[in-house]
Amino acid sequence: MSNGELLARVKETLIKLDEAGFVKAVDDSLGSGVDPVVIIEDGIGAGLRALGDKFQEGEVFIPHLAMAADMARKEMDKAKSALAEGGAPAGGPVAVIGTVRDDIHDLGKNLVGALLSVSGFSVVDLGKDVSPEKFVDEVRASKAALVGMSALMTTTMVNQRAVIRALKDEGLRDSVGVMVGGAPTSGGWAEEIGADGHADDAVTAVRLASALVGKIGSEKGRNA
Amino acid sequence: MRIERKLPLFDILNEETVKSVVEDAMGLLENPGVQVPDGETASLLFDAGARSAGGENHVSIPSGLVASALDTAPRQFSLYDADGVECVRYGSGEVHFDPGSAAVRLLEPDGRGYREPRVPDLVKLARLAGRLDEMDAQSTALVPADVPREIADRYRLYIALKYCRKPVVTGAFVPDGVPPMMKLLAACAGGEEELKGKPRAVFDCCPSPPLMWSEATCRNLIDCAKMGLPAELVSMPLAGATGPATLLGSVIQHTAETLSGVVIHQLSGPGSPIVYGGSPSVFDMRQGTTPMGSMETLMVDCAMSQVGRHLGLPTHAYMGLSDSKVLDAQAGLEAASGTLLGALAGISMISGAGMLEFESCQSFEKLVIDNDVCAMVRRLLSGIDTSDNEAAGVIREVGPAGHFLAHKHTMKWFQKEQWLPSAIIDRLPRTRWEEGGRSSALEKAAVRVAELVSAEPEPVVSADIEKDLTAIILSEAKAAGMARLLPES
Repeated sequence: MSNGELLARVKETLIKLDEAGFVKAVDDSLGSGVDPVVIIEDGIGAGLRALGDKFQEGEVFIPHLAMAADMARKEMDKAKSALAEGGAPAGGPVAVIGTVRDDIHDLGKNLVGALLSVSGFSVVDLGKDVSPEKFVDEVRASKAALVGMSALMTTTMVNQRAVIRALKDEGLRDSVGVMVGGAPTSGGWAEEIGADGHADDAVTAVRLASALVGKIGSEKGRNA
Repeated sequence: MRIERKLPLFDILNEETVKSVVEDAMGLLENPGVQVPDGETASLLFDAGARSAGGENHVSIPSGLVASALDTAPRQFSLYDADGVECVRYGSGEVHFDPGSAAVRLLEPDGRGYREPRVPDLVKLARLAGRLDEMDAQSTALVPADVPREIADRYRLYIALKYCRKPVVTGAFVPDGVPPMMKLLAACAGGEEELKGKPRAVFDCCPSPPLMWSEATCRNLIDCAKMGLPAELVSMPLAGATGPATLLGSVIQHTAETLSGVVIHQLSGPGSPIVYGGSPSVFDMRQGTTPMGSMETLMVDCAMSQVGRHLGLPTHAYMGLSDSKVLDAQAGLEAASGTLLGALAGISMISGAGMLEFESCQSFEKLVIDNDVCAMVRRLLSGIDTSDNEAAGVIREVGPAGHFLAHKHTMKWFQKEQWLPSAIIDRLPRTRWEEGGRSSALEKAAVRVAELVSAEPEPVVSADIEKDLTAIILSEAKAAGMARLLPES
């Protein structure tokens, strides 16, 4: 099978959410010596983007995206570990996302993660109850282009401000786009704490993320 | 408002299903158990015989513990107004209404625009709720944007108590929120013991589905139980997202979460009043939203409250809300469907009036429209009066081609039989409707809101109580860095 056929199989099995077929297609591609970066971008990434388009068209729904994002994450990790030490980084612009400290609600954040990954971002999900230090460390380590913070409670949204302060203190604020979300947050709140934008749902968040990444001029922003 | 209920209850599940839901929920409480924060909540459960279920702070709750909690939880309790008059009888079989909370946006009177609520809006809301007959309780339904977040919970209660005599459905925003709110309530009641004897407010406490409790909520729940303040458990599994996709599955999870709350609460304060409430929803798989007006959401509400009733606890639900962003046909149909179904299901407290955009936006205009919806629903609950044994005789007497308008029987009955809606509900003939300005319900609602809030305010608290309330909130405000209290008009 040619590299093109192998990559098409990776893409198609992901679109069909055929888990076994997808794992095998990625394994076969790696076994045939296809560049892991190409597998990630032209196979897995292409499949995710196609699903993203189908979602916009109303052909597939959030559970499809969530399942595809899960499948893709595992296989991307596998492909990345096959990369030679010091090999070219794979994937789109890095988005570091998490629910801020003291907040344990992560549904909205998970949705944003799934949608970002079907829109060409390389998503690092820090989970929930994430400290400002952890955000900062990951932004530095992954050379992130974007930080997305969620808070569902009026009482924890103040911790979004703490993350922005920490990014400033570490001199990282200007290198990343920062967006906030969660039920109690608003555009006014984003402005007040010095974020670059606010989204009140996952679809808007992806639109905002793409705009922000374009704006900060990341060289990885082409997918977004 | 007390009405005699004549309609049978709407049971959406059969008895066997309810029993199996409870059984499944008990099984879940044992395995995998619930995740609770470290410290007091965990020790409370372990000391009572719960076991570690492995995992991070996972606690396995044996069914015996649930049974004793259900044993000590009161089946009925009441809320009282500023004068000590009993207004809400939780668990009595009566249905009560209050405005839906807690909105971070307020709809403008044009029914389309919105803005962030501020303190003068809280005042307006309290005064409005005080004047709407169908609202048995007021609620702290707006989150004021001009008050520091850390004290917004007590600040809105302060305004509610100062401007409206009715009982309050409220809640704390922060772990240490309940004690200062208790102080405000006690100041109105004349002391903590007096408040315990005649509770003025109920505190919403929400677990975090699936099967998890946050530190803030546990703290609030335990504080309420210890102080004897009524608490209302508001679990909100989202079917397909933070709960299973099936409606029944969501009911099972809701039952487990709510029962775990009853256990934590009753262990902290056996016999303290607790409400079996909820705000479940399906999860919209296209938009990623939580439609409160969807039929499936209402079905889960009916089912979960039926389980609560089966367990012998007073019930509550967030129903009668709409997902529309504007005051339109969708807002009307969703509000009416939810209120109607909740009332037929016999839910003690139905929170939802005025609410749009899931649970995010309150509208004063919708609140006065919903007041009419609640009145219509109450009319339904009172049923068809079967005590009239004269009807056939009257028909015989009038005979074919006659009329009943001038008949004594009509005079005797028509005002009992027909509830007359407010002017918001249009029943005019076309000509007079046109002469009257061709007003829509929304336009008339805006006029009614203006009338109700501009009327001479009735005194709510005595000068002494007002002084106490002000002193309490001022000290809270200063601790939060405010120099003075915010203007209220």
